[in-house]
Amino acid sequence: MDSRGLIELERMPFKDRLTKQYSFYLKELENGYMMGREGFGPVGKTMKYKDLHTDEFREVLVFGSNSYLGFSDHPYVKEKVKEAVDLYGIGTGGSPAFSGYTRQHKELELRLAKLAGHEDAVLLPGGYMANLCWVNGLMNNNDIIIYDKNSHASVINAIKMTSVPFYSFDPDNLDEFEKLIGKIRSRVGNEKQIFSTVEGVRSIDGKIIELARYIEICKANNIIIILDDAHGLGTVGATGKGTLEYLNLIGQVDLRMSTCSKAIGAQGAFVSGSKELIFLLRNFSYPYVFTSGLAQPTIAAISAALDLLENEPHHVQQLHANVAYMQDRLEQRGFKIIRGESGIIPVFFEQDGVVRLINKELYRRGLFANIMEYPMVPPGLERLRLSIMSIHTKEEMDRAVDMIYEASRLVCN
Amino acid sequence: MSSDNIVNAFFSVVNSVKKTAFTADIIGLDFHLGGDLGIDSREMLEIWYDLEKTLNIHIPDGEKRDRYTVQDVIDLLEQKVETVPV
Repeated sequence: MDSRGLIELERMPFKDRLTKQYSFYLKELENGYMMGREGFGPVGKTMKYKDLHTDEFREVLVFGSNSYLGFSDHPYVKEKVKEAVDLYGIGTGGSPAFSGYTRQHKELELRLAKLAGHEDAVLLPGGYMANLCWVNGLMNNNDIIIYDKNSHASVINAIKMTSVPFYSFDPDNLDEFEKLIGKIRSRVGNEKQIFSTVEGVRSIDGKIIELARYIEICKANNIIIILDDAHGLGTVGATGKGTLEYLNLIGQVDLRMSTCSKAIGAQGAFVSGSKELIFLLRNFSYPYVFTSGLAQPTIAAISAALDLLENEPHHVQQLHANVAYMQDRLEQRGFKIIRGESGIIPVFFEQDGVVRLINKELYRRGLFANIMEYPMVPPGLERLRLSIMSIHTKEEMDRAVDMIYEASRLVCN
Repeated sequence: MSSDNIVNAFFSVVNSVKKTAFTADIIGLDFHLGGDLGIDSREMLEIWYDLEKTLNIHIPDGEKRDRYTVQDVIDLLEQKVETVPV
């Protein structure tokens, strides 16, 4: 659906809109709907997934999970979670501002803060909430935010929710970013606080921008920087500490957000920063103050994954080796890809509209992958989005490349 | 269609979608859609939709991206209006 179709749909009376959207969904179901495919069993490099047309579950090779290091089903993590359940139980029974904050939360927050060279951090139930948290806790309509045009929907929604005036910029064009700051400063003067956010590892293609120069520009203009490194933790940097480690910039941004649901293999996210900035979030940010604290098994799972990152560097090293191997193999078979730095490999095809057919054929053949289509990505840049895991073997990666090659030939010819 | 008419059509559509009262006298062409006019990306799609209807033009979605200022929008509209066969 293009934007005209979208606007026409949005302007329909609610009941007509609901009828149209639901009948569209039913038609898609008949054709084998690929959203929200139902899995069964531990998250790993192979999993049982429900067939699109029957109730049968069958094993597929998974190249579409963000559990890049396989920690979701790691024996050490599971053992630590069981111990924590015996010691501390499950739920926290309240928001961190009331009864839902424990010593385990505090210890984990301080440990996560250290990853970015910060003093303190707050934990939230997910990356979406974490982005709502820093926008809502720090800003109001007297400030200004300049956001990365690739920012996640949660950042955009947070901006709307907070009413902070917003400007977007292209992180691949920092000259224009600098000019924009000059223009804003000439209008509003130097007193008004400007915030800026940028993605660390870009979620759509795994690329990293010229972050050192971005930081330099922001510092020269008294701008508070928030790094959205949702995909960076556990995938980027020699020991998996994220984009800041990879670029040797630890301690250089004011706030950093990362998720614990991807390479860390658990759930939740955190925002780290100075004591003063985190004080604001802890006390004034609605998404933190009015949400229950993370459950004890989650806290234990994140802590155990951090133990593994610190004590067993081979997980991250193997992920990097696997990503390079897979990138080479795809290029050798003639695929156009982007060589990024994280576990994500986007694969492009010549025509728009084919990627969903290729993905369906892949699933039929036993490969689980994800796709990104317009409007998630610009028209003409539809892609198969492969997620590589440290636990994939060369044989499994070869098999995946063969399947992609065969499926794309079948669909495109 | 003259350049002034295109600018007026732009403000008329923006005002109708945003319930504002912007005019060319108070809004510079270098003003930003977001920071200065408060238009977010979803609202901008609505504005493009109405502009296409009003000016009887068709703009592929890919060309609507990366337009940050009023001038960026006007430039594209002028280009499309010029290329419509009479």
